[in-house]
Amino acid sequence: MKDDLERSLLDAGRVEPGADVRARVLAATVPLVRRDDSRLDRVWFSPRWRVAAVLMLVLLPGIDVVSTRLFVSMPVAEVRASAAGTVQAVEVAAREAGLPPDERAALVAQAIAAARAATMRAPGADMSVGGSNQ
Amino acid sequence: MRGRRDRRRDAASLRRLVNGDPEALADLYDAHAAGLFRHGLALTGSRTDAEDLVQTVFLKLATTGAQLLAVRNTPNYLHRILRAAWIDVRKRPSASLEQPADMDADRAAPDGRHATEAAIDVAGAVARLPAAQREIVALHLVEGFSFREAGRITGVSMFTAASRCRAALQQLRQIVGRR
Repeated sequence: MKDDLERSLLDAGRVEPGADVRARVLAATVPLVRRDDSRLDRVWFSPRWRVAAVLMLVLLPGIDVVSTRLFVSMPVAEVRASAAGTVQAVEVAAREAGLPPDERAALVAQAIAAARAATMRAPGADMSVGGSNQ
Repeated sequence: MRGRRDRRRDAASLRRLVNGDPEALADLYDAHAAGLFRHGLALTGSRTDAEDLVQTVFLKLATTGAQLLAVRNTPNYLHRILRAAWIDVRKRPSASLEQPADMDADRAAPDGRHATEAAIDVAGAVARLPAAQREIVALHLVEGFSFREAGRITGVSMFTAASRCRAALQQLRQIVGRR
């Protein structure tokens, strides 16, 4: 609860800049506004990119640990399904994070390579993700 | 207090600014200039200097570019720029900031009451506080920032901010003769 003094402070403190200040400030600053075309900066400072990067940092080692532990005892069919699911999850996460198609493709390629390596480690497996076991 | 809608609008304005939309700067001015001006006035005690600080904030905003996309709390960010600008100006050997006593003149009643008479006025009493206390009064009691936010803006802990505010209120009560 505000007492009398705090209410008086609030009322007394409601001073505003002079009427001409808005025009002066905008006249001085608006000509300086430029579209920032630095693609790298825009990606780096974008909150979506940062969230995606953190997610990847957490997700990829997690996938590695889980795959190492689980895939060893999994039947080949399950390993293949799980790896394909992981690749799909990475692809969906990258798309939702708004990454450009080329970066998305690079990430998916990395995920496929990781999944392929995991699949190869499965007992008796001799196949690739999404491929035949010939 | 600023709500979620205000925060979303600020974030949208910053994105538009990064995309080169000058109208976004006007929107940000309309939303934040008054609060920034009051913060500047609390720091400098002079309307002219406070207006200059506001202009410095918007100059910085207009030229920052994509880094603005990483701003999560726009009011905090703007008030921190204003404070940094104030510190910069004070460091310059040719600092043009007027003396805080100027605040009495700026806030004096329009009928030209004498300073001793104006001293019983709350605004006059605030002008007699140290700058650090004036700043917290402006940020917490007038602008509605929490002690944590006011502390972040001023570079002190929330406890120091709260203690400064308490000390300011105590001093103000003595000056205006209220309990």
